[in-house]
Amino acid sequence: MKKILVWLLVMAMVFALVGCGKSAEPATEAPTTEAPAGAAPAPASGKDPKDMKIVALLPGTITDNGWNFICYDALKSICNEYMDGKEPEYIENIAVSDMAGYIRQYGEDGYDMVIIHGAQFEAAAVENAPLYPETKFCLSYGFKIDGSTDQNIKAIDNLAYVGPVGMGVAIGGIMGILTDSNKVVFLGGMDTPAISDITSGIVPGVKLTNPDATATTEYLGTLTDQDKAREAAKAYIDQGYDVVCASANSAQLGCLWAAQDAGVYALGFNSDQYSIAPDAVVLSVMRNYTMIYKDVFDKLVAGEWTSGKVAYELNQGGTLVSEWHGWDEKLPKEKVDAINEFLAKLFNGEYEGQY
Amino acid sequence: MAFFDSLGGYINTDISLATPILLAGLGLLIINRAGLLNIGAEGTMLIATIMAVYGSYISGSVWVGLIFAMVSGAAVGALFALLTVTLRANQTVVGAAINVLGSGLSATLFRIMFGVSSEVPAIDVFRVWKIPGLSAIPVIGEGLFSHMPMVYIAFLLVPVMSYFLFKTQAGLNLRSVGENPKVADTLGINVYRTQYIAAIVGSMIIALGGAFMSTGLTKFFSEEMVSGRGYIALAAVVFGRYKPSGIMGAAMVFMAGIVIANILMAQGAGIPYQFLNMIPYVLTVIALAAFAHSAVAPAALGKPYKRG
Repeated sequence: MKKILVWLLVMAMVFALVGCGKSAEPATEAPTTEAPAGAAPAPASGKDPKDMKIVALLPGTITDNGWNFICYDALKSICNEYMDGKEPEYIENIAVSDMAGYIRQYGEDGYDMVIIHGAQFEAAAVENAPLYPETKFCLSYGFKIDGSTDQNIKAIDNLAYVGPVGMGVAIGGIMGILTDSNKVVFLGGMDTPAISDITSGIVPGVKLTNPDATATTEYLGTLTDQDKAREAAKAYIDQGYDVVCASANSAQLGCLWAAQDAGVYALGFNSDQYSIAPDAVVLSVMRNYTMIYKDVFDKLVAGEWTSGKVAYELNQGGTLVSEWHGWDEKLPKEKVDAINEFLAKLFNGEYEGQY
Repeated sequence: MAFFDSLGGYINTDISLATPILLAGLGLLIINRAGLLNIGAEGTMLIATIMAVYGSYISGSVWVGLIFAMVSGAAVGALFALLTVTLRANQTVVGAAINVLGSGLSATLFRIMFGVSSEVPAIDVFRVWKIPGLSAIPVIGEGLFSHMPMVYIAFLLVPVMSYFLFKTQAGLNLRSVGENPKVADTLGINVYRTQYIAAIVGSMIIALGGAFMSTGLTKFFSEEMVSGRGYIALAAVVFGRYKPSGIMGAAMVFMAGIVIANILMAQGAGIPYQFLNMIPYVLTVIALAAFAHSAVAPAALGKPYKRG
């Protein structure tokens, strides 16, 4: 009897571990031997990108519709483009206290590029990256968008601080134009660097396009509880706020649904979220990590790796704005024109110094 | 009187938010009353959330999703009963294992069924069903009679459950198994069968709570979406003094905390969000401290029963 119990528990644990999505097993199939005809000249780093090993270390799960998903998506496109569609390697749900161990593990294993996805891991990255000079480490952010903490960036040859900047202003500016009641709200999930940096750009952004509007930013205190997020957004809408945007991974879907139910405007964030609430989501503002990490990888392959702060400005494509999905027909024309004009100016760098 | 105008909306929010906790609490109550201590409600609910979404997705009907969720709940309940009743494993450990299982299994099933993408498929979900006539009453109409069907079902379950537990022979048998299984056995009640049925039916009701979260309150599954409601339900059962009506009150008090926190946040009271998030838990602690002294747990709760 006891044996059965033990085995059942073992099974339960196995299921649980599978759920953690540890797909970091090395690919089992042998690399294809046939090189395509007219193969590219040998890369400057002396290594075929197909043989390079890259892994992402994530604070959450890849199905979160947000921060971790966009990193997985970026990794996947690198694998598709350079590694014959090999399964991306990643570790999910890493606690801050455990990150150093993972960094050392992949450093010891001789990985070429390790993405450390979140500035909360900065201390672990700074401490451990110098131990493995052959491995390049990318920390997502680690600098404040407004440049106030650039002095904290350590000069470590194999550590880059990578991230797009300026999307908070883009969101704020669009919200300022959309609002009729002059009250807009941006809800962050948690007070983590990747979220608080956007939040700090919202108020200046709204001021650019609508100095009379009240811009409120607040934190929900959850990244998973859609139900709670929906009720929080609803409470704001009841107070007369008529444009909602949120950065809270899967919880932010609740905010979009609340906007749809109440018939007010919303902005999607991180990916194109029009289909989630088509009657509310006017535009989506997206962090373009797919381009960013591909660019970083390209430079590594070409032997042009740069360490230190690697910020992608709006005019470098670090942030994208989705297409209108027909909203340019539904909105009053002057708003569409104003948003188009604002975005053109912003992405051309005409609002210099505004973050 | 802006507050009075919004009162119906606040009551409405409180009741619909309280529904998953109420359902989970009622399910736990049946299990507890049969002398089984099940802390695995969170995991049971998580498995039910994905099964409900999947059922609704493939069939196009949210009610089929509900059946999928209940079947998954029954399976989890049967597993729990097998381990704790037949094999007499430590009930707390098995409950904890079910929570871990639920977290991992729901995530794995989700990735198998829907893959990893930013797309959110549209599925059939519960819609608000206003009770004709009654929903036109000011304040109360909006607060009490404009809900999704699952909400009415959950609140109707409260008197049904009270009647069953305290007014029927089967309910008496169930409670006697939880109080003193040896005596119940002597009197000819099949203790093991009663506990199996309680675990399975109770887990099915818990699963209803999970299903309502993913196909009613929200419109799709996301990992860890139950966000601790399974644990709050555990507290609601104790705070509700092992009575259906008490659990209903507990769930509503707790969720009133969330409603108050949201109102304060949206009013711009300037209170840090960490404090606002504390309100529901502080309310629960205060309520537990005030009422828990009179809570009478079933005497044989958590003790495995061995015949002979």
